[in-house]
Amino acid sequence: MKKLIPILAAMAATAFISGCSSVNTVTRAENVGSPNIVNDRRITTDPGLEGNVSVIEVAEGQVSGNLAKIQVTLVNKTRRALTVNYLFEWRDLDGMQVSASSSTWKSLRLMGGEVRSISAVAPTPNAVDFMLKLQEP
Amino acid sequence: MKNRNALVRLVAISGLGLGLLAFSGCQSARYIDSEGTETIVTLDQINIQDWNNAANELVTSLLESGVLERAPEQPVILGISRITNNTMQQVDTDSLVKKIRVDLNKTGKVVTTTTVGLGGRVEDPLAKETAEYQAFMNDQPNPAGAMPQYTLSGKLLEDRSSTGRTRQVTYTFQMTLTEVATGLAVWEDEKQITKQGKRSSVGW
Repeated sequence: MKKLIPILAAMAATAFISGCSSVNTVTRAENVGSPNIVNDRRITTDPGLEGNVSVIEVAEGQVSGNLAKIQVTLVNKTRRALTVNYLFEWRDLDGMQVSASSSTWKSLRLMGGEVRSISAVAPTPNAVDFMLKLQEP
Repeated sequence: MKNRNALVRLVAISGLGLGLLAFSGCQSARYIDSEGTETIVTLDQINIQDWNNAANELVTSLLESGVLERAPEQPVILGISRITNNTMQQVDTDSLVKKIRVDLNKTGKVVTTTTVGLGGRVEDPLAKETAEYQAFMNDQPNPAGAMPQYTLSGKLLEDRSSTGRTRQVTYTFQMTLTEVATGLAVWEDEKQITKQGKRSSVGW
């Protein structure tokens, strides 16, 4: 029993250290680029997830002439690595969902304190609105 | 006494059989969302979500490159060239290419020819034969069909490594868009998907 205690303590310390790998970030003091920020509306059904991972900003742009692009910047507010699943859906001017054959849930691994952007391009020029779904696995 | 033991044994075997039957009856199949998070993840295979993610990332990259926007004619006519499978698996490369074609077609920026193919092998022989028949009946030369302005080629790669009991596999999906007029690769990208585990697992 006496031999087991140090081993368990070492295991616990290792788990604690590996679970708390957080990311230090450096950026330009004042960004040159100025993103086109989108005012967003949020529906929260999992306060636990919202407490761990926050949306910092939502920016929009256009690619290939007439396709909307959305970029959402997330931050892991905890000191441990987290996995978040996310899915972008698109809607047209009539509010109808626009499908894409390869639109699927994706998995994102965020280290502790890490800020990361996820993005999606509209599947058709008619797709003007987006919905981002976030889920903790 | 002997008869009683035999009876007990018979009842036990029957009970076991019924139990197994009932148990296997409960293992019913169910539908799940192909795009959802309940799909099976395996180390030794390219799973459905891997094809979806690779196609999605590559299409996004191509659209963001602006190459299609700069094409002299819209929509761009695309031909499918060689897609090499260098993985250890027997896979149908259309699992990737078709998704890319569908997504590009939906943007309205690309149409894919189905009557011009690598080595004369066309995707839709009926369309080609019908066009040739109509040309013959109208005493016209064989139609060349719409020739592709760009071709899509690619390669699937696999890298395996392991340490201790942990196994890792990386699938690399490489794609190149070549401008036929110049023979130049005007867009290239690759998407890597890495999976790690001790054994095949279910879920995400």
